[in-house]
Amino acid sequence: MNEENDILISRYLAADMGLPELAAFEARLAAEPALAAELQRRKEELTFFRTEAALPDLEAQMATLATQHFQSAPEGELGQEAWTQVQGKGKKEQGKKGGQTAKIRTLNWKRWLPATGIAAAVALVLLIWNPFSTDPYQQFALHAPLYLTEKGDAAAEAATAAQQAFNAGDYAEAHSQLILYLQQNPDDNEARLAFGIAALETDRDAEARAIFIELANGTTAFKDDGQFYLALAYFKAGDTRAKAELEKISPDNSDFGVRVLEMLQLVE
Amino acid sequence: MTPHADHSLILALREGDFSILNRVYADNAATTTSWITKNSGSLADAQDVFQEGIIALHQKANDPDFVLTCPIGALLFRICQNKWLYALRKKKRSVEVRDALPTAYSNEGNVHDLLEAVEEEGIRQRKMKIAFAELSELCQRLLQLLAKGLPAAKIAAELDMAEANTVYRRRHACGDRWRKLYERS
Repeated sequence: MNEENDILISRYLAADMGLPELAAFEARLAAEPALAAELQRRKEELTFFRTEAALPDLEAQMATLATQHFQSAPEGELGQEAWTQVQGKGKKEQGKKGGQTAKIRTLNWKRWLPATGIAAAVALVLLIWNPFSTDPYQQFALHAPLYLTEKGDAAAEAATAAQQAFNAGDYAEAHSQLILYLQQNPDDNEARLAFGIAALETDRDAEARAIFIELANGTTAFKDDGQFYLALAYFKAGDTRAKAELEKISPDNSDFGVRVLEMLQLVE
Repeated sequence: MTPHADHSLILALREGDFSILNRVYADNAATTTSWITKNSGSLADAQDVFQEGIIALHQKANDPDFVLTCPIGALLFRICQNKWLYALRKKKRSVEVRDALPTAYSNEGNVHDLLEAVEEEGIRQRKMKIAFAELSELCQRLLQLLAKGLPAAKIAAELDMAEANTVYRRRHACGDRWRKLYERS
C-alpha cells in the first residue's frame, strides 16, 4: 500500500474529508478492489483496538459472573482450588493463569478437610468410571444441546420441556416430550435428530436407526448428523456396519471428523 | 441476512454494555458446563472454556459488519465445544492434529459459517496482538489514539508532531511495520 492511499484511508476513517473528496474516494473504492481490500484490513485493525480497549471491563464482568454461575456443581462447593489440587494440577494451572482476573478462584479453607474427603471420593469414582477408557460409546456420544424454543410458539410447552430434558441428559423424558412436539412439527429435523438421540440413549436402537437413516439419506442440513449417528448406533451395538457408515463421513468434517477417525481406529 | 433477535446482544457487546452477559451466562453456562463435565472436563475447565467463548464472541462482536443470524446460545455452545474438543485432541494425542487449528467448516449450516468467522477473528486478533507488542512505544500510542477517533491535529499536539499530515504519514510507517510483523507471526 503506497503512502498516499494509506493517508487517504486514514482520513476517510477519521471523517477528515470534504464532500467532493469523499465522493471521489468512494468512487475509487467501488472501482479499485485493492483499495477496498486495504480499507477492509484497516477496519480489522479498528476491530482489534475496540476489543483490546474493552477487555479489562469484560474480564471484570466475567469474574463477577463466574462466582454466580460456576459454583453450583459439587466442585463449586469444594472451592475450585481444592478441586484442581485433588486433580493434581492446581498449582501448575494457577501459575499459568494467574494473570487473568476472570479466572481467579477462591478456596473456603473452613471446608478444606471435608472437601478433601469428598473430592477424593469423587476422584475415586472418576478413576473407576472413566468414560474415555471403559465405555467407547460414551466417549463418542457427545450430543450438542437442543434449541427448540427459539422456533416460535407452535408446541411451545412441549418444546420447552423437551429442550430442558434433553439438555439435562434426561433422555427418557426428552423422548416423551419430543413425541408430543413432533406431532405438531413433524418436519423439524433438529427435533427429529434429538428424538433419534433420545431413542438411542434409552436403548430404543431400532427406532433410533430408522430416524438416522432417513436423515442420512435426505438432503437437509442434518444429513451429516444422520450419517454420524447412524454409525454411532451401529458402533454402540457392536454391529460391523459401523465401519462402512463411518467411512462415508469425511475426516475433515468439522463436527464429526475427529470422532470418526478415533472410532475407525477402534472398529478396524 | 436477517439478524436473529439475539443480535441485540451482539450490539450491546459492541457498545461495551456487558450487563447483558448476566443473561448470556444464565441461559448458557449450565449447558456448556454439563457438556464439558460429561466429557472428561472439570468445572474449572468448563469455566475457562466458557470465558474463552465469551471473549471470542466479543472479538467478533466488535466487527461492525458482523450480523448474528442464529441464537447466541447455539453459536456460543459451538465455540465452546470446538475449544474443548481441541483441548481433548491435544491431551489425548491419539488423533493426529493436522493443522494448528480445527479444519475448515462445511457451509451446510448457518452456525457453521458464523463459527468459522468467529474463529478467524480470534486468530487474526491473536496475531495482531503479538505483532503490536513488537512495535515501538510511539507507534503503539499513535495507532491507539487514531483508533480512538481523536482528530489528527490533536494527536499531533499530544505526540509533539508538526501537523496532522505528519500523524498520517507516521501512521503509514507504523502500520506498514505492524503488517510485516503480523505476517511473520
